[in-house]
Amino acid sequence: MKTKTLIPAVLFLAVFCISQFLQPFTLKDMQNCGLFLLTPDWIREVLTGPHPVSETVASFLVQFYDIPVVGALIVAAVITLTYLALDTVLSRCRLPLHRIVSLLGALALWFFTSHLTSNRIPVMVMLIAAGLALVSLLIRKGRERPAARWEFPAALVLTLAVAALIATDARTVRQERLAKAEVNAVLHRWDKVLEAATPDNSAKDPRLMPYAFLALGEKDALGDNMFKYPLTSPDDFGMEGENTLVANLFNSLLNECLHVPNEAIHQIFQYSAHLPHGMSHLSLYQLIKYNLESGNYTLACKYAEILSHNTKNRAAAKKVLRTYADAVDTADTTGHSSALSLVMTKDAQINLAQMNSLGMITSNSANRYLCYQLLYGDLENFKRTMEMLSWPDNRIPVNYQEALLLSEIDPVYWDIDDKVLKRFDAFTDAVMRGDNEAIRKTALGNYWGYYILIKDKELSSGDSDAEFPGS
Amino acid sequence: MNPIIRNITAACTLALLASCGRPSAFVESGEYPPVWPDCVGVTVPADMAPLTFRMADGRTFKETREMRDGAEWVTVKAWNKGDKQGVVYKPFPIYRSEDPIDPYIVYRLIDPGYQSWHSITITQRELSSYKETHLVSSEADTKGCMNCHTFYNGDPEHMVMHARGRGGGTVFIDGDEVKLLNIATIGPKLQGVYPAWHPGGRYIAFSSNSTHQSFTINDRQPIEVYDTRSDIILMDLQTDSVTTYPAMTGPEYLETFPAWSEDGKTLYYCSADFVEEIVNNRGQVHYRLMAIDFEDGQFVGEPRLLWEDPDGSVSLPRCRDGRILFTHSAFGTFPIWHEEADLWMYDPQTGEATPVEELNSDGTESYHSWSSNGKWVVFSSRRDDGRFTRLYLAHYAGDGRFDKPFMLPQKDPSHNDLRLKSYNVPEFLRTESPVRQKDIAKLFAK
Repeated sequence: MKTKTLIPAVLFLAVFCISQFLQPFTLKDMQNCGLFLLTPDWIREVLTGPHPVSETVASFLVQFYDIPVVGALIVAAVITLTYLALDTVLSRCRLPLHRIVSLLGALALWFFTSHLTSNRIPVMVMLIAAGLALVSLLIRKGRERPAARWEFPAALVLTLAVAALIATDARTVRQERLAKAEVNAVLHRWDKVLEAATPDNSAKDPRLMPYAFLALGEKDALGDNMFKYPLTSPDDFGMEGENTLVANLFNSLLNECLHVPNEAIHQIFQYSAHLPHGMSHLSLYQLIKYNLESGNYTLACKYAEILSHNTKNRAAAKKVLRTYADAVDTADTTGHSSALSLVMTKDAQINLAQMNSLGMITSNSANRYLCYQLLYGDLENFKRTMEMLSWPDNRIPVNYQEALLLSEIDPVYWDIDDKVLKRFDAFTDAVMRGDNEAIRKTALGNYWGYYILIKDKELSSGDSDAEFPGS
Repeated sequence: MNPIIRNITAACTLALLASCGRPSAFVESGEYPPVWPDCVGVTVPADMAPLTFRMADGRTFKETREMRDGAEWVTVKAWNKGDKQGVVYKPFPIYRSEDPIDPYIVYRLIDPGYQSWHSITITQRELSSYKETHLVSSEADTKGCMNCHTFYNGDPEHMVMHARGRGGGTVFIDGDEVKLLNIATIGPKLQGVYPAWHPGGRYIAFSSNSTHQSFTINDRQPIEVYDTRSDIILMDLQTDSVTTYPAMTGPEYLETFPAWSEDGKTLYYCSADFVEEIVNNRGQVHYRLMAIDFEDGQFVGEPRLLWEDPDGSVSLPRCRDGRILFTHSAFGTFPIWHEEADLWMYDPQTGEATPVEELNSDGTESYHSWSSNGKWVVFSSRRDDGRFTRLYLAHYAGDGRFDKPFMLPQKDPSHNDLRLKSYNVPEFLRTESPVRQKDIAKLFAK
């Protein structure tokens, strides 16, 4: 096979493999954030925008990133076509080493756009290069110089080097992990979320921690595992009050899980406002879902009607329309009075307390409420809340047992595990002895470690009331 | 081939193609067709763009129209694909009024509520066609919010608009002169939010509102917007000065939504008692309809109570022929999120206010404006899906009565379904407005 064919083939294969095997969730996330709609407003917005052609092509292509293998093929095709277009231009200009120079251009494009959550820049570059290539065809083709023997090996090395750089690039890896957590949280695949949001990964990217706690909460495993994560303050637990793309999506998913569709819808609109079209494929899907769950079939069908103007999602949207065409809205105001209804605050603890007072209690919301009490070091109220709750098989989660022991409770009454008691004895012994190394070991990955951390913070901030129970 | 034979063949082919999938027989129905938007028996201006519709249940249909007795009669045949028999419905009228309407309306297109927005545009629509032009978008003010716009007597050469965001302020357009003034730095240092241009042209009354919003946890009404402080201020455009009037300033009352009488001698507005912890006590906030006299460029005397409802709240008074059209809701100052909000009319002769049944629906009715001749109103409503505000126009039949309203028509009726924006603050314009994007962007670029 000729070098002329081998270089693009290798490039295509490398881009495809990296995209397919190392960035499948980044691609899926691009699809989530994108929007392609054949509606009058969308067409007008794109056509009157600064880059109508590239925007149309990029938006059309991104809807197929939903299927990672197709997304990877498209990404590989875009980068390879950019190479081919550049090579056409440079060879017509009779530039020596045009293949290597073109490859460098394509590799640079791949590297610099590999961690982006949009395909607009690579598509735009590809279209510009293709346009230049078309123009360059007007230049009379000279006699083609055969490729030097070293060109293909050099191209191979360059391609593999860039592939390795992308595969190990911290930004790309972080982006893929976050996308994996987000995409799987949307699908309620909590084990997959936890695969991405491990304690180690969370130490490198704290944005993963709220996803981990959401997944643990949905799996009823929060009270046993939360302090394995590198928590340093209550702010690490959630993203309430933040107004960023990442936070708004998380808050929407959190409120979906807590069965608070009003706030889930509010947050998905906030999320959408950060995106280039003010709406996205994911936003429309979520709006359909939330409105169906809250019995507002009229609005669900409206969003489905809009989504049916998308090539890729048309069939799914039509199915929703067929299923709920004759459904009568069940959402009503029974039992609620708008003037008296409670409102969301920026304080997650207050919101959870209000939800509980409205009878909107779920296992996850109850656990999150307890966790916030632990995170604020509010052991008195934690104990009071614990007294009101019951646990499956009377087994109190480990982190809660650890907190109760700090509250100087009767271990027999609370049925504290022997193992936890032994660990606590070792911990208090270390504290009494002032053995920092032993304290560190016995407090690692449990509530006591976090408690020491916040009490240290209080002491260093001059709070004289800070006191360590049991010391 | 002979041209005659060729044309006949082509016509037959077209006829065959056109009849494909259409039933061969139709049964007559004694009922009007279920069309959306509802345009059965509505009254439109003579030069209105044709009202378009689709079958509400999505069936395929064919319509024929004929003019008869001053109305357009529309006959609709509808069928499901594959049906051998369709339905031909009773012809329905679209009445034509000889009362002229202003040729343009201007409205804001905005994401339906919530804190943030992707883009906001102030957009002009020609009523005799479907032409829509964005006059200015939030790109001009660095993605800041563009608040209520108003025109002097429907003249696009005189416009005022509040813009938030970096370096925000109030934009004044006077012919070719476009300027940005930060009213909050002048006189009493209060921002101008809801404007009302005095019929004489020299003054603008603003309400200065400190507005907040809260999101309910589990109520069907997802958002409540409320003011924690609001006052009325007066701007003199000749001197660029701003003044207050003690009876309409201060923390004990919340004054908002100024509106002038047609002769400019009275300012109407809404006022409520200040309530502590307003979020939790919002049900106690009931705005009254008030009036105060205006002479020689200043307010005089004490405000007068015109009408109040201890179980309701008045918003957006708009005066015409001595009557005042306003929005009535259960409580509060932001009726677009109140499903129960309706349009009411206050009659000064009787001192009574009653709902305008012809305009109201089970959904929200809110912002409204009169045409310059007082023969038409445009108002916003969420009757269609409960979330996305659409515009309706109605003919004023006089004596407090209206004809049946119709939705602002689109070339393709599905555009009203597919648009992901809400329409708000509709105002009539007597002539076409130029695009203002560049002029306003320059102000914010400085």
